[in-house]
Amino acid sequence: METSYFYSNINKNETNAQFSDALRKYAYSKSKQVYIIDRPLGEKRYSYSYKNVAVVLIPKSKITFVNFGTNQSEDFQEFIQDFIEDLGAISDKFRYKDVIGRARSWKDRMIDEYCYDPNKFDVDRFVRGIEISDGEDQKKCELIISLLTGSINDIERVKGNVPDNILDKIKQKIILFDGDQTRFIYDKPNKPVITIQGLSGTGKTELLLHKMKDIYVGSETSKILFTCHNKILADSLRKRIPNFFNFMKVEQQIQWKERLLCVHAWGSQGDPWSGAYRYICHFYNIPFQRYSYHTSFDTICKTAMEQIRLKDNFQANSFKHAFDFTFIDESQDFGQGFIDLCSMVTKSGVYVAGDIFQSIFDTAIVTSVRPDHLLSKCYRTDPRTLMFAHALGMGLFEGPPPLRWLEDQEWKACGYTVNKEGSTYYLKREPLRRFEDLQTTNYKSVKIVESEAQQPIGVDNCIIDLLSKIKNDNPTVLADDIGIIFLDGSQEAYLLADRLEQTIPREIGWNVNKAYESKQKVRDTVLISNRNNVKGLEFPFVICITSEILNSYSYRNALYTMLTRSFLQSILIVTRNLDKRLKEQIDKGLNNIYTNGYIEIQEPSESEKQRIRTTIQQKENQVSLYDLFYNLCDEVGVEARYRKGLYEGFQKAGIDRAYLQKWLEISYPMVLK
Amino acid sequence: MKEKVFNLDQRAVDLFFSPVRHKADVIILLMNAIKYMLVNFQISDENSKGKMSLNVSKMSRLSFFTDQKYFSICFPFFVDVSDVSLIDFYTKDDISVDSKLTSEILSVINDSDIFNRQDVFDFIEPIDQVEPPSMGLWNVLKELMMFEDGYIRYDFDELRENPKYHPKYHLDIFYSSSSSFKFGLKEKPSPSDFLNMMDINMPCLYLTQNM
Repeated sequence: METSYFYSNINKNETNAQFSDALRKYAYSKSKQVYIIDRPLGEKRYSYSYKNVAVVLIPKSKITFVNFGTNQSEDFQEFIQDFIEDLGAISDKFRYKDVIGRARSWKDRMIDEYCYDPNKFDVDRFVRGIEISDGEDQKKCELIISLLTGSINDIERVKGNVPDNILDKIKQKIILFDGDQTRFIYDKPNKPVITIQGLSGTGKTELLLHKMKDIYVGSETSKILFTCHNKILADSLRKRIPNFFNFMKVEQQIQWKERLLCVHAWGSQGDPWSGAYRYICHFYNIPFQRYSYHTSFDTICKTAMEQIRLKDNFQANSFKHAFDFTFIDESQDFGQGFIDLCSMVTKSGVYVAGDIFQSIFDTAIVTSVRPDHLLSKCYRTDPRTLMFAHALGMGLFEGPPPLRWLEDQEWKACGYTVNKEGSTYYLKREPLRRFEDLQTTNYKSVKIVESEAQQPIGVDNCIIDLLSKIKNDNPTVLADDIGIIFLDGSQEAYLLADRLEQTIPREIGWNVNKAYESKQKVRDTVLISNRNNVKGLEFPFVICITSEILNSYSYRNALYTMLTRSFLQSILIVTRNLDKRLKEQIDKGLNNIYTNGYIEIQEPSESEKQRIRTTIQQKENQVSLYDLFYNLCDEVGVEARYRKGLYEGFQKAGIDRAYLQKWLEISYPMVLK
Repeated sequence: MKEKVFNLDQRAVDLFFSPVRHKADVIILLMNAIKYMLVNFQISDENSKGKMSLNVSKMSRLSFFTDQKYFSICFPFFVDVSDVSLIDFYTKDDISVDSKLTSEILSVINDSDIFNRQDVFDFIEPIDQVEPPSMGLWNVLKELMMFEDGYIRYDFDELRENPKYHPKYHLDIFYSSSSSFKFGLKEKPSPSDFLNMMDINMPCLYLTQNM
């Protein structure tokens, strides 16, 4: 089976198969990252004539050249020399040389050779033999691995001595692609549409960018579309691409429109390059349908496909494709129609990346078509925080029964290892290299703080105290390191944010950026957001504010999303209004995660599972408030001109259907009078 | 006439005294001022770097003062100051202009130059994307776009002083470069002189020609 801890690009054959399999097993059993490569991965220009060789890369271990051929052959030594020379060139290109130095200065401490003998090989002894003990050398070694696997880190971020505090340790951690991620970037596709799925925070957009860069650089005439549903996200991607290309030292200029189009999916009539669908209409000269409440985008895409099919040359060789490659991000926002349309107008390959679910309450978690790449590791958040967020979101601490239950296969797709003893489930996530320092120091990655206040508006003092403490405990912390998110949509929650906008600069000396107003990240400010504007954001510290823990699915999903925005600590502030029993259950569940490293939960009975499913489905099928109101207007016979005013009045009143009908029957005659 | 006066700290002075050149700037100013009044932190006179005054009558105005500059705009909402410690704002349709609605307006106005969109659907998009919108978001936004802001500014400018074209003490009427013009003043007016100038219940001022 594939494991995210292992990656190999060597051609498996009789001489190296046993070695490769042993390392794969080792990586899996020890949860340790292992790569076996035959050339630097990120650079296409390097190739070597000697083939009986593999380079083993393991963090905190020497870069080890393994010879499967004749002992100490000249070819093997030449390979090593050439490889190190090329590594030096890559290190120079990405400005790593100032930090790791020239090859001759570290070669002896960082490089090892190994002659493979199948009869004597013992994998544990092999790995022990190449370990590096010195902290500085371990860091340099990880930087070299990042160069060789194309997982380039910002050298300005990671340079410097090994930090003595936890915040900088995590910030400066060298990020390495895992096996799943590396396979997605470097493996050659074997089908026209490649899908990649994972929880948010698994690095999907980053991977798409790497793949796109690889293709853009690899073929000089290819025409590429990079798209997603949301316009703001597309705008930010378009800004991100030049920075990413600069960062990856791409020498070619970006030829916007001619070679690369990065836009949202729909677009507007006035500009043929304003959206993917808009451009497709322009390219094939078919009518463009603009945004409307009455037509779904999926239907529009299917209509476009029919119109393209009617083109004279559709089946002929002369049919021109609008793009050579298409990249679709956040594919969970689309129906199949848009993906099919892109596939129709794209010549060589469509890469589709999306979340496993839009909401933890989505019923179709594991899609009927298994994704080609399933990313199970979420690198944004400490696994303990993610476990807590999932458990709180799905109501696992409060059962029985919980609000949401996943089948074993679905737990696994979400990155859990599932152990069962009778009806007790133990759900666990593998520890991640990025957060190893947190675990060893027993750092509490989730904290629940009960404020004295009864309403969110009163928690500002509590927030100021928390910020002072964070500042005190982490001398290097910056304003940008903190995100404050409120879950309630009430007027009081917004007033709290307005108060914080004034108190934080006064009391703490940091400026504040309310992201729901500015729609952007602003340097050197503490970000305050409501629940709708947190997509793609991450901070070392996140402070979430809620007055009570509601049971509505949208609320629970928002709570889960908020808590997973931190990579060091998530602090949940609750008011005194929170039910005492619920608070105890949550505290107990969190302690269990800290002490044992797993979520412990009783499996619901079959009838309970059925009830959970039915409730979720009923909610899914529930018509929107607006539709419900207009349907009832039809039933009661309310004239069109009164509907808008009544609807606004109704929004104040309540959401129960019976109540609404009664309200309408009473209010409407009064309006008529 | 009812009057509410708020002390401004340095942060608020920097926020409110940033240049006004377009209608969007006036709307942003107004929304931030409403937020400031709703939060209503008590800044001591000692820490005060300026003042904001809300004068409520049939024609309400919101005015800002520092030593060197004053300016004033029309205030388009009704004000409830019946409770001493609280202040409420609402429209003629009884829509409450609160912290949430002001944030929604700010998010729409901040959305990449909304007033310069080429396509009407692009104009609608950021308004449509506010979720869940407060009741009356569009009505209030419409009112803000349409209201006559009545901008007037007193300026003290020694640096560019020119008795004929840029008097040391002068009033700037309107804000956009195509509409704005000056009236010179003989001396610095007091804040109350400035407010009285715009109060229709106070005796009218006369211009005297000084060519």
